[in-house]
Amino acid sequence: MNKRVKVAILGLLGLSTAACCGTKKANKSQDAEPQPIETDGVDPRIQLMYGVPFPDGEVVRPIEEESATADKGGVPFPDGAVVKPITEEEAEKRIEEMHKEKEQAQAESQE
Amino acid sequence: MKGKRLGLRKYIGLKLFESLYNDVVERHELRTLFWECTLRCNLSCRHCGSDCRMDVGEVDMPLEEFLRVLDEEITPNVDPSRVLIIFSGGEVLVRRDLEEAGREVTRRGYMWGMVTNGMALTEERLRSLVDAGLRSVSVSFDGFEDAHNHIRGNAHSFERARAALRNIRKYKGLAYDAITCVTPAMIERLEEWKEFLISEGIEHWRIFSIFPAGRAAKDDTLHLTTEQFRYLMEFIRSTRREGRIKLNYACEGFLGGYEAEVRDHFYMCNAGVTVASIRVNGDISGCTSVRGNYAQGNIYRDKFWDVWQNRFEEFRHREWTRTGECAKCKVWRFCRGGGMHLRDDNGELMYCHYKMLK
Repeated sequence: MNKRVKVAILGLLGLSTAACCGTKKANKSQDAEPQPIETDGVDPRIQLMYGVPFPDGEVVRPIEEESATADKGGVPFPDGAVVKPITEEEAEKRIEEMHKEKEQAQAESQE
Repeated sequence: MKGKRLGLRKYIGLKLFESLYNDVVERHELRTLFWECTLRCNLSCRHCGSDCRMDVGEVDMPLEEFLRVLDEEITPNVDPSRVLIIFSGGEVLVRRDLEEAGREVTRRGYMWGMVTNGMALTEERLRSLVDAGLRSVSVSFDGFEDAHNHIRGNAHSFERARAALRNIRKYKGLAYDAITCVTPAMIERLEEWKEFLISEGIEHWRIFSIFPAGRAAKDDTLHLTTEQFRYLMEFIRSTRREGRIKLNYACEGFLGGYEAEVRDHFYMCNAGVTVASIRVNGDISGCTSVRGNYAQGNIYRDKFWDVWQNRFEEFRHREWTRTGECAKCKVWRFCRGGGMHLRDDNGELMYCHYKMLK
């Protein structure tokens, strides 16, 4: 019986989590995107006697900084997304949208 | 299925798992590496398995020595992103170069975590450790103030551990758990303790019970009776079903009918199978909880990778444990003689969890 069949039977028995679990690879650096979950089948990361929980692959950062808005001299906390350049057309479109939003807000406040 | 007896479903599950686990043993891929970086400690706990002291004869292992082994022996042979390095002690926070150690292993692509009593884990220290790449942390939290301080032998230890856990919870993505060593003094108050942990916002909790090693071996008041142990298993099972806090029993021993109900996984001892340690004196072993005379080599004499690949026979093939009370045990095939840390200097089993479930 091969490994997949055994794992499938364990699943049918309702014991799949007891026999296998997803593990995650570490990010090579704090800037890297989180790695996809790698399912190891039957090589579970067990909680060792003197061990620690297996990290879940997220970048560690303070919750307060994540939700905090920028202070006077500072900058907002980055959201972890990859920053990509936008085209000139997109930039113009965004500026136009911003103007519209501003005008709409002014009109609403006058009402 | 209650208690010791295995039901048919679980029996079939364990049989399947047995053969799958054999593959893990054959592959013996290194996945967790403990670095026992110090035996110094800022507490003197009554149940300490390492028997560590404030002033120890054994000096800390220099960071350069650990990094040398990592660079020359381990990194060329593993995918660092698949290996978790755990700094352990003693109390790791007594080392002032812990951040440097963290930065160095992070730079090499490893994840790292640490186990602490929380005494010295201030907000500032935690921030500097997170900046150094800390990904996971476990804090010992043994019960209410009186119980915790009694077992830890320090009037401030409870408050410090609580503050440490509160600080940890301020970080997103930092894996953590609170570890409770359940003693007879705490067994009656487990429900109350659970509510306290939940009220503190703690989401991950691990329980273990005393095994007779180190200082704990000499103190009978720390050991659970069979009734208390059985109650503990029932408590863990019902708490897990309740789902308000993620609770696991540590990887201590085979638990018969409680298998897969008090832990996220079936019992297995991965010491020497996927787990290695470098002890403070350079010894190469399985988990740091395994007794010293099971060392398979020493980094000052041997090549770590050669030891990992070619020794560890007694960790990987445990037929030798089939003596004494294990000789005729019907569940040996699932238990394989219990955790390596439960074997004494002569290889005899010191404590059988399965037997406790009578």
